[in-house]
Amino acid sequence: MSIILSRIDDRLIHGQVTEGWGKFMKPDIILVVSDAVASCEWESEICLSALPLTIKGMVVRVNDAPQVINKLIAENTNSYVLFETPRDAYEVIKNGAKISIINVGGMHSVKGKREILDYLFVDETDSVYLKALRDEGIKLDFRDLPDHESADVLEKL
Amino acid sequence: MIHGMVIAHKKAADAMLYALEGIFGSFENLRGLTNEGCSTKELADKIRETYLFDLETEVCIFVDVYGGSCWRAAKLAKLTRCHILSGFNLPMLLSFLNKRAAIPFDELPSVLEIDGKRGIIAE
Repeated sequence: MSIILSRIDDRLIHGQVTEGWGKFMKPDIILVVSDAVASCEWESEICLSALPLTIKGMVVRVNDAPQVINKLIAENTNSYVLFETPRDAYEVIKNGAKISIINVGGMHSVKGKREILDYLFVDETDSVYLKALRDEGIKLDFRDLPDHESADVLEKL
Repeated sequence: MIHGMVIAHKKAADAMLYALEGIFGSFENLRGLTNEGCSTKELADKIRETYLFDLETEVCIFVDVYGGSCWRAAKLAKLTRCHILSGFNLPMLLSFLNKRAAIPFDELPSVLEIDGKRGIIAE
């Protein structure tokens, strides 16, 4: 195994990720991809504070993520990769990260966005990049929790 | 007066405050927020905006779970005079309402932690 969950979630590390998905899959490491969090040591510390003691964490910038992800794959390390936005996920994949499926699990902000699901609010930019991921051959799994049904909402974007 | 804010997932904060009022009666300067409909950063902004009238206000923020998105938002809000208590329960909040006028702000969190834990009893 290696990248056991690759997820877009604007809350990054939180209960759904560690508990909801964690009861099915046990990562050794959670990789947070975020320029904003990576650029502030204090924010990185807070972000990683949410991790259970059994899981390592790392925060990287978008530009550095492809190399780190591919290294985790090469080392066969069970990993979660968390993106804040579809744009970040797209940039990382376009720059060579070997990810084939992305769970779209949480885009909670409603300001200026339209509701697709109760955990998925998108604006034009989000739609563009989600479709671009699809066009890159990435399978998009719209689901907040693993024991919920995957939603078929691509056409609504 | 020390202010309080309860921040939790879904409708848990409002439900807790509704229950609290049913026991304690009416109270001031203790409000609820949900993380629904906003990103963590937006929630942090909402917390901070609540106290823009006086950023020196002493605030106890009660969140549902340590490390969750509500907790992270409370941290990111960077209020000047703030204590965060994670894992609130009814006994903790009742204690807050009863004791906030009598106990200095920086001593209050440890008292509330004890009272919250004292309220957990397995039979």
